[in-house]
Amino acid sequence: MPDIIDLSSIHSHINQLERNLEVVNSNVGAVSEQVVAVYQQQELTKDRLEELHQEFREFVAADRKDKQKQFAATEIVRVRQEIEQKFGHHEIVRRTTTGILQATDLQMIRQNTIHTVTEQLMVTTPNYWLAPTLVALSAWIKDDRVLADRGVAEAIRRDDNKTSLFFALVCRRARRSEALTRWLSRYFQMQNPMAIDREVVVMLDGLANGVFGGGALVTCSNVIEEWLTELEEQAGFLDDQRKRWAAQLDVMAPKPADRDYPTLRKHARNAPQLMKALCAARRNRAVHGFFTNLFTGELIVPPSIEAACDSLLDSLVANFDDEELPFRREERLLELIKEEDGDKDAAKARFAAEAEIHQPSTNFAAVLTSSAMNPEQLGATRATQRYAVSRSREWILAAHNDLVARDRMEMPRHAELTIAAWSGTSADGSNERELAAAIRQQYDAKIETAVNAVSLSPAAWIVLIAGILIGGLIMSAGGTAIAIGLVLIAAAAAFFFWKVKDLERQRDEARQALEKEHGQALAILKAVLAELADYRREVASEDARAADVTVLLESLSSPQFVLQRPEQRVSVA
Amino acid sequence: MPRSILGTDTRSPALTVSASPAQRETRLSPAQVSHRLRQKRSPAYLDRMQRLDAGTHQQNAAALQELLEAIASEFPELGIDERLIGVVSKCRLGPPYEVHICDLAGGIVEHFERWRSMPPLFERGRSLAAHGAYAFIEIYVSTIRAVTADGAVSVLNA
Repeated sequence: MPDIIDLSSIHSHINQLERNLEVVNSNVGAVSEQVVAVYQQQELTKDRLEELHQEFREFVAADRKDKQKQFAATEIVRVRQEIEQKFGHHEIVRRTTTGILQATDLQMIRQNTIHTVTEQLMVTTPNYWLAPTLVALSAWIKDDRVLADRGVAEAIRRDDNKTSLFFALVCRRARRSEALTRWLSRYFQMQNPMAIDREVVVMLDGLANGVFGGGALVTCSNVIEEWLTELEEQAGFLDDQRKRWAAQLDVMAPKPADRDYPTLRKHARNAPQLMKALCAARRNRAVHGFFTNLFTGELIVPPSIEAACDSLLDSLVANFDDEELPFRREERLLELIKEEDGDKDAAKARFAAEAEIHQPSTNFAAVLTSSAMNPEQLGATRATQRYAVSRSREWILAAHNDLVARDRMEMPRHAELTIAAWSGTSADGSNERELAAAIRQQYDAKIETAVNAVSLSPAAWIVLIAGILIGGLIMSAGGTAIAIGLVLIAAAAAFFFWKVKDLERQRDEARQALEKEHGQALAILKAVLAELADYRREVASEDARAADVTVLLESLSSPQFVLQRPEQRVSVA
Repeated sequence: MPRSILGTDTRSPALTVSASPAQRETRLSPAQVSHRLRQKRSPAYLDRMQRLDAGTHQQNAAALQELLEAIASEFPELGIDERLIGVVSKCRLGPPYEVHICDLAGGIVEHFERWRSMPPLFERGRSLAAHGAYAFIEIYVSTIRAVTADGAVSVLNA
């Protein structure tokens, strides 16, 4: 039996085990570092994903708007072609109207030629009210009373309102005051202020531009006051009128620009409400600017009564044909979509605010509102616009006050801030110290959790225990094995203590990563609060402009906006 | 559209602001109530409302009774259910108080700190009262009315 135990194989196994443990050790260290890195990457990825999601949503919205805009541009062409195709022949009749009057003024065309032209138009445009009107006009010029009577009777049958206004203007042009008054009286007798046809705008134009002088001017003014008094006695009229004006003023709110408070928008959960409130406050400036521009500058007055009447006749024959209304409605909505850069909702809101323009008849106060806010849609002149605004000032004031009160009520009292995982609120950006302390507190807690999460891995304990056990086992053999066993135990213990020491390094890394994040959060907080302070300052300043609108509107009075033509100044007080 | 010559008269009866008992019995239509409540408030009424901040009503039942009478005489033609149920206005007591309410039904005047919630019906008028542009905010069941120092009224549907 040999005396010496061969420990070389155990030696080699221990060496192998030691190497393996070193590999495990280095792997565990690497994994630990990777865990910290993965945590940081995860936070970064989360932020980037949110950014990407936001960008994607913005891209989809922009793409949708682009398509809507392109579609609207194409459709407008189609609708206009359809109008041209279906009603193009009316255009010839319309142009002929002032052509006949001007040719007669100049005495350059033979009466027979005019008569022939109007007869042809009568044949080529069946059912159109203007054709028999022109026949009557040419017969009048030719002094053919029988034909004139027949033409007028047929025109009245086709469209009494327009025919009466047409001949009122023709009589005014010919300076036949008595006939003018009789045609106007006829027109007024047929009107119901609760459901009035749109061409009443021509009468308003005549009044505001000083075309109707003397008795006609007084009659028109009185009739308007009677209509409005009658309307005001209707239950709910005033509320309706205020709502109508509120809708008109509300769509004047500008949209938020991309450069408006970008950090606040990114980090406030209630950013949509904050931006809405900002735009609502900015509306005061837009409303004030609109009314100031309207009442600034000289009006362009046609050089003569003839020119003024011709302009009104053009408007009467061109702007108020009910058959064209469905197409004009479609055309207008498409125009608004184009103007709003494809934003269909904004276009629909504007369209809804002016919807009454596109109705065959509406109440007279609505016509005043439309003339004031969308004169181009009705062919109303700037003088009419001024008159309509000044006559509506009390309703506008009430609507403006209601809107301002609504916006003040809806103004968020706090910005609800979110920066990374922290959230808090600020009213005006003045509580930076308090919020910074809250962030510090949150990050202290986070750091504590992260540091506590760094602990000894099971591998370190396994190495230590395995080293002690195997070392003990070897030592039990006695002799030189004792020394080997001790070396093994010492190696395992050294490894264990090295791992314990490495924990501090890992904790420092976690601490530093979170401190860096805390620094970034504080920088964002500073920027957000600075923007919030600017935001509150701007809102307060824009909100204060509400009073300017009030002062401006209170200074208006309607009689001063009825134009006095030079030839009327003597006759009209 | 031609005017209809025959037909029912759609005109509303004229508004009256008399306080005589006989006329009080005539109920106004909702539109008339709305119109009446939009009219400018009288200087006497404004003055009485603005005295709320003096705090006398909190202890003094007679002062509160005077306030209720001022409201009744401001809206004599309105039924009790059509009148305001309370008032919210900016508190002049200074921080931490922000606004105070006068709950007419309970006869309570109470001052509220910035952080303390008010009863839900009154909370609707808090932002407007705190804004400072209005003398006080009248609270109704379905609307709130912001009254400026000159008596002008803005209406908001709650």
